[in-house]
Amino acid sequence: MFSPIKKYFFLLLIFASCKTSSVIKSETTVYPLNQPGYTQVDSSILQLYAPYKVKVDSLMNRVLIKSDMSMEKGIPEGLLGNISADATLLQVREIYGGNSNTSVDFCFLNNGGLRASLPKGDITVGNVYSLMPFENEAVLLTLSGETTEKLIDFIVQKGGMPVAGLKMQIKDSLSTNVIINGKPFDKSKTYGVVTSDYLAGGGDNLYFLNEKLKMESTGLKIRDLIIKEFEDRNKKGETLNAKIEGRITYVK
Amino acid sequence: MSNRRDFLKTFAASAAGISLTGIPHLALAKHQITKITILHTNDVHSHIDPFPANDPKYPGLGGVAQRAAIINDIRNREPNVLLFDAGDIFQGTPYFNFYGGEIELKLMSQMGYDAGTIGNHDFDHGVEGLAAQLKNATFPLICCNYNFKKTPMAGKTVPYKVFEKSGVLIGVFGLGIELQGLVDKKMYGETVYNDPLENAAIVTHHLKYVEKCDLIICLSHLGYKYKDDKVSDEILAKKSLNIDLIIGGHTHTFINKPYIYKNRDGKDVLVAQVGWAGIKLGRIDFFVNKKSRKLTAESTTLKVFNYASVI
Repeated sequence: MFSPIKKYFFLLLIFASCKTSSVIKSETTVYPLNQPGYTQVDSSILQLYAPYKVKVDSLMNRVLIKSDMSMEKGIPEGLLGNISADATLLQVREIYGGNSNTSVDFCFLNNGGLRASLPKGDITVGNVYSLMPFENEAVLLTLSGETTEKLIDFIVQKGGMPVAGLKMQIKDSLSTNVIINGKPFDKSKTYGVVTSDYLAGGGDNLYFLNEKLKMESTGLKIRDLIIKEFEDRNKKGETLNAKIEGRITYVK
Repeated sequence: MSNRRDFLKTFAASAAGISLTGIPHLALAKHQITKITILHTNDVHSHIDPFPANDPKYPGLGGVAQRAAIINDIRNREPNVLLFDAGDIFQGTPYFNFYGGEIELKLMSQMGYDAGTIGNHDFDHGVEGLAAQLKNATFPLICCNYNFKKTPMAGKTVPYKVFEKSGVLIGVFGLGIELQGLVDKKMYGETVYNDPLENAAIVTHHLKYVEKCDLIICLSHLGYKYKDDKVSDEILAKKSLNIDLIIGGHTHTFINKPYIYKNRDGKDVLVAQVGWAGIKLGRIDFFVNKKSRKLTAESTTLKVFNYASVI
């Protein structure tokens, strides 16, 4: 027996002409699933997907590393954004950087692309699939100083995005003290920027990225890069942790 | 439920226009008012299992088997149930990465979904990937503003569908979000996005005056609302005519109590959305007075209105 936790009564006063039927009232109920009082399951549904679940679980339940903390996304900066952008940047440098003449200066991702939080404790392959379900690949863009500045402005306008290798402050809706790869931003230089093929292709309304000077496909899925970074850290005997370290901050 | 019983009694008396007592009028009222139960989800994003117990935000929540149990229970109690989804069925768990949406659609079919619409992430394995999976769905995908003519989805969607429940006609149409800038062009291919407001106006006019629907529902993946003037459920509601309910998605907005907007005629439009990942199931019960055409407007509606305002 389900007695709805929240039940609202309200009225629709739709009385058209006498020739039409009318809605005289509506009630709404929201059922939060699988909370106390809502714990029944339909076993025919479980049976239907059991064969799929066995296979998926066998691949997904592999533990990659232990995390010291749970990580969620946030703006202007979040733990989840930091760890995801770090993993992507570090792995592109390690796996792809040596094959390219382009320096790998910084990485940016989008918060919309981080689809689930990471828990404290065991981090499984499945957790990373939930975080990054898309088949997006990492690309290395060469951007002029001018286009890089547009990107910085875009990040400001978004109120912050997941970044690694980039540090900046936002003052009165403008960027200030922008540091890229340890050095102050210089508009006369070009920069090597790692991101997803989705964003590089103008996703999230990053249309101006079509001004890129060069785009190299790494052939590496961002999800696989994150999995590898977590495995690498685990092999070194590390646990997973992240900090809010002032990559993007508001100043007065 | 005593509220409702009182309501029906009052309605019966009001409908007759004079003060009458007794059972016959209550019975009459029961024949005049049909309860239509709408259940809805959106942005389930391939979430089949509940969230794990250690999930920081939604520990143990969701799950299709749990949702199915609630749906079964409601169907056992209510005579006229319709179950809809507002898009982004796909993408979000490895079930989609490995099986391309097959299991999501099979489960929704088993749960008895009556219709769904198309979200931007339903293109994540390309428009071909979506078309290839439709054989697993026993329910239609409804969308009136994507033109799929030059894609493998051609002929595989309908712009609207009319459902009949106990003599009440429920017209349902679907609206998809602008794909450019949101979905990689190579994924949506030759799918053409058309203006949702224009198409909604045409379809709702048809549903109201040609199909003679009593209740008109929009399955929308436009998103609840935006900071700028991007078309949204809020904008659609305000600019619409004849829509009673917009079941929304895309923005993953948890709306516990549907927002009520006034449309161009000053009539109410409900806007609902239940977050994402199948964490919640939405339910809206409509009480439709199908026989009001046999009564004068004054003797029914005004008194119901008076009663209603007291609740």
